[in-house]
Amino acid sequence: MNFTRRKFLLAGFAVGAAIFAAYKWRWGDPSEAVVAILKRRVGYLKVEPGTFHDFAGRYLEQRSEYQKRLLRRLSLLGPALRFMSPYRWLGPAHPLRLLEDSVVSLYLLSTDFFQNGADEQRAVTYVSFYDPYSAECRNPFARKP
Amino acid sequence: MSPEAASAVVVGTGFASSFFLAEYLRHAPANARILVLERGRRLDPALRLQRRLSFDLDVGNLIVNRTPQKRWIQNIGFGGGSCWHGLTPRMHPNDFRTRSLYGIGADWPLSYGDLEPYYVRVEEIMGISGAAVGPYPRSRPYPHPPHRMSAVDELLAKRYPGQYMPSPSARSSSVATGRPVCCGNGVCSLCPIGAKFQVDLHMVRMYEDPRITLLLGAEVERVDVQAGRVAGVQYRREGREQYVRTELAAVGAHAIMTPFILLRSGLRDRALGRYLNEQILCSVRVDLDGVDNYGGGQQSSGLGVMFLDGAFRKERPGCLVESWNVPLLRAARGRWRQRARILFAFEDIPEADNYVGIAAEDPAKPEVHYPRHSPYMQAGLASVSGLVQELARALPIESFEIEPLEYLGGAAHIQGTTRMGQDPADSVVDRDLRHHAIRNLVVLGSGTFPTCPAANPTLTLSALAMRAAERLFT
Repeated sequence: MNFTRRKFLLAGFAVGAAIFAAYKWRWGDPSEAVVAILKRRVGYLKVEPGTFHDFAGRYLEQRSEYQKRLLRRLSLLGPALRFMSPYRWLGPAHPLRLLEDSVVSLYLLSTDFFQNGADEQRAVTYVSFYDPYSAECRNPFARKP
Repeated sequence: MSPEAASAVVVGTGFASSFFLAEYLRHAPANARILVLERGRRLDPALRLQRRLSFDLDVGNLIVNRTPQKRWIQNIGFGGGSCWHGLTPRMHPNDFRTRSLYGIGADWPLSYGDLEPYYVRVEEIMGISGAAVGPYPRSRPYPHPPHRMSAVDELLAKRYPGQYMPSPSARSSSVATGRPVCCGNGVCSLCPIGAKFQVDLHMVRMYEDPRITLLLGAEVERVDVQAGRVAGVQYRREGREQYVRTELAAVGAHAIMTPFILLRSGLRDRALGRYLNEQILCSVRVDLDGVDNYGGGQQSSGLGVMFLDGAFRKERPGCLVESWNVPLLRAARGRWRQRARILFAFEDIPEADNYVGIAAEDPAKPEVHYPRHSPYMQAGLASVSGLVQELARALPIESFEIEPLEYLGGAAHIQGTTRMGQDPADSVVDRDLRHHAIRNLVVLGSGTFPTCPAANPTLTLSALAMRAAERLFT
């Protein structure tokens, strides 16, 4: 078998990609995936710089190990996750869809977006992480009798 | 200090024991001495919130589970774990006579009419909110107004008039309950504002009655039966064996530990420990087309009984339909609220082969055996897709997906292991919850249910416990 320069470069690239994937798989930063999902889903809103990262940190504090592992693996996709997702082809109970729904839900509920009538033209303020266990009444949709 | 003798010993402080006590105290003389033995501890509510933990004793760690594919959820602590979500439907009147009507399960030894006055009293104490809708004859209206329904609920109520209602619940709808109004945070197992009725917060004063001695951290080992009567109760506390003489024992340690205690006491009723069951919940995630959901006032905002009763129960189980109102949004611009979660809570026919026993390798632990769902339950689970398609006649369902069951699923409603009935050959207690042979032994809780109705059990087991206490004095 001829071991050409071209084959050598391809093999090197494949090995590098495999090492990168293995590294991300094991040690990737799950917050990258959270931020990428938010940029794709609600990046068009007028949000304060840095709030996606602040949110991602709090979000991950309250996730199970399973969910963190899922996000770590998603971070493999890197910047591509900002532009694509299999969401639309997944059923409403698929774990990947539920994960994306959960990220977007908790982010929007952590802001004043719904208190302001879901108005996309208004600036969105990150109020505090949405924690239903806090003593505050935070659900913006609940109506009293 | 542990007393040596008591007029009555009550085991457990959950809903069954506490509602039994509430009624017992109304009749007991001023010199009565009631010892209450609770295995768990009392945890500060703020600490529990901080830890996201109802209680630190989980029954899953206290049993030998022979069939780990089925998990059992029950916390142990003062007030009964308080992990309940506060949903309080009554049982359907026909649930009490499924054998006569449909040839399945067993008839209860009492009727809806027998229990109705006690339902009313429990609802008063718990401050239940609800609307007088559905097949539940009532002698009095609900004490508090219903919560608001969500958009999905409104559509279902329109499609199924008289069969769909705001969920009756112990989540406060009015400050007249003495508790804050529920704000729909959706984390009812650990309500952060105390809006939900729970024993450890709202029945504490009862335990301060001078006739009661409450001992926490007291693990009951056996009921001492001599000459066909309970003579005393043996328990372990702070590493020491203790014994208290008593004239009456009421055991309400939930449907795994209660039969375990009675088996360790030497009772050998054929039904004791058998017929272990619980409802199975099936969750369906739904994408809606054009309907903004989540405007209800509480965690599960609507309850449907349209698939609960009918001749179909001869072949497959009835179910309650619950619409959840916890805002998990849809990650789609402008369609954030166009989704729903619907739960189907199925009844079952309890099977004798599902049981609680004494673990041979560790007699201090119960063994629990539940290998698979009954064919009846399997028929119910197989019907879910068709039921959702039926709901699609009322709801603009874009797509739906049934969530797979984890560990065979469940509802955290353990039942059936000390069932009541008329015949000692296939039951443990009579309609007054007294043991057929040992007449000063009362057995409390959902273990006494001879069938597995779709309704959440807390309201019914509390009503049964009040009735049992009253019957002791009449």
